[in-house]
Amino acid sequence: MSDAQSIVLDPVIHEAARLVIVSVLNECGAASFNFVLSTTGLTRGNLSAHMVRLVASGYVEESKQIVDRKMLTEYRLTGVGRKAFAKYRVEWMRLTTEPNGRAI
Amino acid sequence: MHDAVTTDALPTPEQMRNYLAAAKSAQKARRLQEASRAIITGNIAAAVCLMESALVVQHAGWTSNTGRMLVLDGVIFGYIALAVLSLRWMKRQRSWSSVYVLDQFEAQRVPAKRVRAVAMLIFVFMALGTAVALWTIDVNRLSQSAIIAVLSVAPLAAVVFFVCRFVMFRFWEDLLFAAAVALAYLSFPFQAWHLAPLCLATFPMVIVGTVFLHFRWVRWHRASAIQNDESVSEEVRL
Repeated sequence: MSDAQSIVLDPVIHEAARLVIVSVLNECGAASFNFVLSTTGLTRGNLSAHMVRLVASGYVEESKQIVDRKMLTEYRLTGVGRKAFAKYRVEWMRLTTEPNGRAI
Repeated sequence: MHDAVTTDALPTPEQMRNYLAAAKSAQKARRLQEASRAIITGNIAAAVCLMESALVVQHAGWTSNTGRMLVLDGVIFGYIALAVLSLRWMKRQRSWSSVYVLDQFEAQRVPAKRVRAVAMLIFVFMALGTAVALWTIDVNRLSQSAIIAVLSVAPLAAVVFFVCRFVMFRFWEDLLFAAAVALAYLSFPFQAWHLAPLCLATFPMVIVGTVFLHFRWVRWHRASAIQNDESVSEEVRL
């Protein structure tokens, strides 16, 4: 395969846990920490660590507020994050599709 | 910003598994998001069923002219009150819970901006008013088949909407909503007024569908609340 055809996968999204997180957030406008925790099946510490990385990359926006004396954390995918995930999916489809257009 | 991974190699089985796991989680999130908004879906179904039932009741000759107007007014205001109460209940329910999800429209806080929300409502009512006025002017010039064709647009669109939702989310409740809409309208195109009482059966169908759809969310919510019980208390300490 030539350089022009090389497939570029975003390493921030390509990691297994972050791929699940971004896929879930891509389906929602905004979701609480506990929603993401339950739908992804990750542990709390694992999810927190990956969220830090995603927030630092500018793919996810985090907001915290205190409701009824509880800290509620809300996450949403930013415009940059949505674009990056869309690009990742296009690249992934290219990777998993043979040159004649058949899926592997 | 990041060093991108350039690859020409095919994905490994592990990478394929990761991708499929992500797709599965995304589907779960999509289904849960829809289940959490059961009340909105139920309201859409109720609105279409009410519209069609009012049409059938008007033509089936169940009431006098004055009675018809009273029934129609009651139906419209009753529905608006029901929609407002349902949305308030949903908002309150969300504020109590630490597990919630919003769709993109809600997340952009469009309804939270009062001026925009009022402008949207005014636009909807003006559009409805214009449609009713145009209909009243033109109805005498249209043939019976043209009238039926025009009036069939809304129930057909609603049936297609609910069937598409069923295909996307695999909730049997959506098929129940589609059946309710079809049942509410059934007697009108065939002018089979002896079937008109069927439209009364559509409301229990809509209620049952909404309740079951809502309980999908409640069941999952309770299960995840038990699972995350320790997590929530940890989050408070943070």
